[in-house]
Amino acid sequence: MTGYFFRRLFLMVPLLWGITFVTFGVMQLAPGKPVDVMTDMNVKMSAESKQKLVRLYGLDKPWYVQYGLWLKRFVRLDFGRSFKDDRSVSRKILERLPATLLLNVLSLLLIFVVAIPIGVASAVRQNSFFDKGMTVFVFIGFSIPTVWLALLMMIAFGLKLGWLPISGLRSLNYDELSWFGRMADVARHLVLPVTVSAFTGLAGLSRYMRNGLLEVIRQDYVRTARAKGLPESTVIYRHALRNALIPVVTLLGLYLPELIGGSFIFETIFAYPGMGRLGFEAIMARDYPVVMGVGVIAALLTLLGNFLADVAYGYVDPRIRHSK
Amino acid sequence: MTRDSLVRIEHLDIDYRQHGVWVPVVRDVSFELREREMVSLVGESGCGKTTLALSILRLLPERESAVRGGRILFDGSDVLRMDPDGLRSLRGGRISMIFQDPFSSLNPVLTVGEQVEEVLECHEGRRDPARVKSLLERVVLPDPSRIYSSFPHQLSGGQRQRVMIAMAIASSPKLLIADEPTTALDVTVQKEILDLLTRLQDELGMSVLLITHNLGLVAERSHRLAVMYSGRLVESGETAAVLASPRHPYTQGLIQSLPRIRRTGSRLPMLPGQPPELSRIPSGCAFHPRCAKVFAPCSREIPPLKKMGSSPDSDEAVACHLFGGPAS
Repeated sequence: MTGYFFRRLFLMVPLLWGITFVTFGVMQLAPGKPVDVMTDMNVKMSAESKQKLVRLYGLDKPWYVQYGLWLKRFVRLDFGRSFKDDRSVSRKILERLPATLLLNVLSLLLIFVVAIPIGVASAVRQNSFFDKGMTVFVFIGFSIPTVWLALLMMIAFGLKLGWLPISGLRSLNYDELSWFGRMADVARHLVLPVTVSAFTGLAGLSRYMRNGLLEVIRQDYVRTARAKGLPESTVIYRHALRNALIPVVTLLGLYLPELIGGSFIFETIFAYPGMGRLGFEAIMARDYPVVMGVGVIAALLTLLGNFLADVAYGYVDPRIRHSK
Repeated sequence: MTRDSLVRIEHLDIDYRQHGVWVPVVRDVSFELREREMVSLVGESGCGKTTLALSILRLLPERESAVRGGRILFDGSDVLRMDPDGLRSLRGGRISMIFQDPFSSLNPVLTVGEQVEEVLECHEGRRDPARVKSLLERVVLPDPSRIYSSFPHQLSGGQRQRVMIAMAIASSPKLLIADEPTTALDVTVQKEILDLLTRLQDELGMSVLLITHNLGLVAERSHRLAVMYSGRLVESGETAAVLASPRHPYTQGLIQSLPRIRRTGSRLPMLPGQPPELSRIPSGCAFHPRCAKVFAPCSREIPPLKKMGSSPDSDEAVACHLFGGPAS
């Protein structure tokens, strides 16, 4: 078991390298160069000073040399400096990372805490009014583009009803608030982004949980449990649910990358001060060092999510736990 | 020897839903099981024997099956009318069951100890690891302490079936239903498991309903034998008597197709054709298209199960037009 986890951890290294390579390559293929964005609109910029900038950033070298140089710095954990404001990339990311983690962890919690009971209730009362209602909800949840849903919710709850703030993470008067007031303020700002980013996952996972449990309920060992005379609640929660949760745990690892990918869009829509928006703006500005930095962190979080799912899988399934 | 009746099934009809259509699985089955006896229920796959067994504990899938008529009396009370509490004390308490596939019948995420202990907790209201270990010892499992904390995947098929038996005898049931308990096991293990069941039946004084498609297995063990074909009982009687002089052509065919050590050289006789599909059961006697002795009434009328033999307390009965004795 321990050997298995170390192997998994070790395999993350080439995977991470591959991700950085592809990210760098795709970035190079995108039209427009960092210097263009800075110089094109600036009439005072001469062609000569533009060349100077290109040389300064090392953009005159072939792409593979640039990548090699980036990699050389990266192994020393140096992400370089932003083209835009010359600030350290690691510092820029560290400023934004907590907000992104907060958003994603809350979404993930919301997905699992809400979807699992919904799925269980639907399965236990298969084809009931509740189950059918949930089927419709899931269908809608999957079909609605989340970007559109975000805008719709901003209009409804932010503008029409005025219940919730529609952007950022803090109000303007944040510094004047008491400790409790600050917490409440952040919580109010989080409601919309967390709900919207959890929405698709919620729909999917509840359906997944429902079908998984229905599948398990048909298994022989559930019939054995019934034949023993156990009460129905024990049959469902002790015998069936524990087995049905095993595949759900692995979804934890699959939802995390989805959420982080979604962060780029949600954070931009909600003007949320997280890593996703930093990444989005960096891509628009062709700010290579920041894009690469954000890419690496996002990849690391994804790999970490997968790794945690593997650990959890081993924990809940004795058949995996005992294999060498 | 006469014994008191333990289970009495009367005119039981059960349907299954197949692709949205209800089809008959069990038809007009009446059947009695007495205290401390072992009865074998024999028939080909799909003849309704497992359905019959599951219905005694009301374990049939709720939405896909329906009991259309009849009664199942256990110790005088009708199982089909029991409330959930009564049913729970029956299941695993006074009647327990072991299943065909020991590989899928134990919960993969719970230890063996937990799964056996559950029965005690449920029916006697206490956890008792020492009792669980003595049960594991009783079903001849080596090193009960180790088995107690093992997960099912760490045991062999035979060991798992022994665990199922330990679970089944935990609350000293009056009836043990064994649904093809050895089909999934190696031949050598099959005999061990059946020996264990026979011994436990004797020691605990329980009745056993042994469901099997293997006539060879039942020959020396069960007191009585009942043969099913296409949802109906076609013949029943004392095992030795039925095996020695089977009356129904289907029973004759089953016995003839048993391989025997002394009979060499000739081809093993076999029943022609296949058992009918449930949605297309032939008219009259369901066996008539495969029967060598078919005659006029066979395709028109369903033969009733008639009592055979001269003495009034004879157990032998057969459902075949060849035997036109008085209806029972």
